[in-house]
Parts: sequence; structure tokens; C-alpha cells
Amino acid sequence: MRGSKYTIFFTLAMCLLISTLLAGTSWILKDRQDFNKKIDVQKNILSAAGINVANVQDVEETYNQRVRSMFISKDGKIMDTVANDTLDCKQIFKIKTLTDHAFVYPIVGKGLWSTLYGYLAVGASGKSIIGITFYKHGETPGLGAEIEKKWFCSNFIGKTLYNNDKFTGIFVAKGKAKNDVKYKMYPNSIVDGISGATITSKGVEKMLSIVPLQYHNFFNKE
Amino acid sequence: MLAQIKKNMYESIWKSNPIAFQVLGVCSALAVTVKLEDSLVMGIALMLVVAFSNFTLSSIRHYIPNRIRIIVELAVISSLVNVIDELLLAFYFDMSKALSVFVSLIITNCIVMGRAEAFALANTPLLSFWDGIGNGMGYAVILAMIGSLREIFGSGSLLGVQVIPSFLFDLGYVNNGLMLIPPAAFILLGLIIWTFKALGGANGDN
Repeated sequence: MRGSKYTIFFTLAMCLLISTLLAGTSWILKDRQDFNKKIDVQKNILSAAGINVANVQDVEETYNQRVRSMFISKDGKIMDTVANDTLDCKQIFKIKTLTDHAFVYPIVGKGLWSTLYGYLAVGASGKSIIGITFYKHGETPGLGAEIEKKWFCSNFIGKTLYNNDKFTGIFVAKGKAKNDVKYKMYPNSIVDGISGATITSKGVEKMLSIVPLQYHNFFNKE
Repeated sequence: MLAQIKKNMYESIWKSNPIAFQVLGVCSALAVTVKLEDSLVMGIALMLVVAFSNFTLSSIRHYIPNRIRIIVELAVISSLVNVIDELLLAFYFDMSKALSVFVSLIITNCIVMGRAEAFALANTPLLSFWDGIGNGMGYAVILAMIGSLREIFGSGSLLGVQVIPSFLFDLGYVNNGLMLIPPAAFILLGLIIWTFKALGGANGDN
């Protein structure tokens, strides 16, 4: 039996070796991973607006052709020079679609375990939803993680954030939208929820009642 | 040596298959088997992790202090998993998103630790390496079976290529939605274990 000194020495050596290995791997692969993430974000912005690019190679080109990134101030003015997406200024993307143009803006909110990140695409008036995507979250696979699935996201297409010119956001029903009490009042602003993931669904609802309001001034000015 | 490897392979794939006989690693087998491609990548990832963790641990087995044995095993396994995760992120981004947490969960996959404890610490590095390949293959084979069945009947395709002819859809054939959700994998797994046992496999006899 070896003594404690050996054990401690072994542990230290092992930690040193493993951390070097992991740091090295991550350092070598970082550029490629960052590139992949960038392409993924661009793909998400495009697909929120209903433009699906089949080839990974074409994503960047399509993005540069169609998307223009802008920053707007709190009162809705387009800003010329902005460094960061702070509270006072928001990022928004203007996208040329096949027929018209659309706007896409990032949405962020709390789910059950994690922060949900996605993009919301709205029509030129900022009222009707063209599409929504979620690209980053840490929700339970099979339950909350369903938010990134097609069936959930396609629920939102054609729904409206405003009812009778008043902002209502989007309601996420518990189960089927048709069975929800709010369906009678706002049939165009309610979507099916995810069974087994009530808190994630509520998180999406809350996020869509807060974030679009920050763009209210921008759209009502145009 | 070669005969031993062969016998070991036969055992770990057919006689004491990690999923079908030892019922280890079932969680990921249910979760990532909607499509054959995901299943294959997951199977290969696990195979590499078991093989290399077995090899590494077996090489240093005389030097590992017994008191911190399990921690050393975990450290080796989790760094290997991390490396695989990073590689997927760099070269196979969409797959890495599809497999989401399940790649990192290979760390807790009982097959890896089970083989380290039961085999690698008592055998030579080369033999342990092949034991890892064998067990990983046993896992991958089952995943591939479930993955193909679920993709064929759930999406009508295999590796993304449509295999159910479209005239059948015109005649009223529809994809089975049940196949796309985890319970289907559970039922299929049960049927596969049954088939294994009926044919004389997965009974642990040596």
C-alpha cells in the first residue's frame, strides 16, 4: 500500500495532465467552433424569416445578400454607431424575403433550467409573426427542449402580437390552444403548449410579452 | 491473443451485450435513436470513449492509488468525453446539436465505468482496448437497430433517403408518429431483447 504522499502526487500530476489536454483541445478547435456558431446564428435568423438554406456553404452568402443588421435606440430611432446590445439599444435585422421585407430580432427569456435564446421574425408592421426559432437553451430533452422543434415553432406562424391595436403578446396554452379559455378572446394570439413542460411554455409566453414591447416604438414610427 | 479478442467480441456483442443483457446505457438508447445517423454517431462516440478509457486506465492500472480509483476513472472518462464533444462541435455541428446533452452524458453511461472497473483494471491495455471496442459495438449495434426501425417507420426514410416508396403514401400509408417519441424506442428495445434471448444470445453464458 502506497502512502498519502503518493496519492496526492498522483492526483496533482493527473490534474495537470488532463487540464493541459483539455485546454489544448479547446484552444486548437476554437476557431472552427466559433465559425460554426456564427453560421448557426445566421442560419437561425434566415430560417426565422422563412428562408431555409440547404447548403452550409451558402449560408454566409445568402445572409450577406439579404440581411442588414441595425441598432435602434429606446425611442425607436435607428442608430448609426453602436458598440453593444445594451438595455438602451436593441439589435434588429432587416431581411429581404422573396416578396417583401421582414424584421428579425433576438428574443431571450427564462425557461425552467436555463435561459432560452431565439429569434422572432415579424412582418413589416411588426405585428404578425412570420416565424420563430430557438437556437440555444438547456431544457430537458423530450420535454422543454421541444421548443426548438418544428411542430412547436410552426405554431407561431401567422399569429399576431397585437389585438385591436393593443399589444397582447402571445399566449402559450396548457395543452391544445383550442381548449384554452383565452382562445375565445384571442384566437390569433395563442399557440399549443408543450405537455410536460409547463414552465418552459410559460417562459416562452413571458418572453413574448416582454421583448416585442421593446421594439414597439420602432415599428410604430415607420 | 487474437482468439481471446475474438471470444471477447462474441461475448460482448452477442452473449452479454451491454444493453440487451446487462441493461446498461438504456437512457441514451431511448433518446437519440430517432434517426439512424444520430444513433450511429452516438454509438461510435461511445465506442471510442470505452475503448480509449479502457486502454488508458489499463495502462496506468498499477499506478492508480486504490483509494482514489473511481475518481481517476471518472477523470479519464470525462476528459475523453469532453474531447469528443469538442470535436463534434468543430466538425459536426448539427450532429452535436441533435445529440445535445447525451454526448456529455456518456460520462455517466454505466457501460464505460462498468468496463473500466470490471475489465480494464485487471487486464492488459491491448486486451482492454478491444474489450472496449467490443462493448461499444454491442451498444452501437442495438442503437443502430432501434434507429433504423424508428427512422423507417417514423419518417419513411433511412439515413435521410426515402425508403418507403411514395406510391404507398398515395395509397393511404402514413408514417407512425409513435416511432418518433421515446416510448417507441422502449417497446422496440424490449422486442430486440426478446429476439436476442429467443435466438440464444444475451444470456450471459460463457
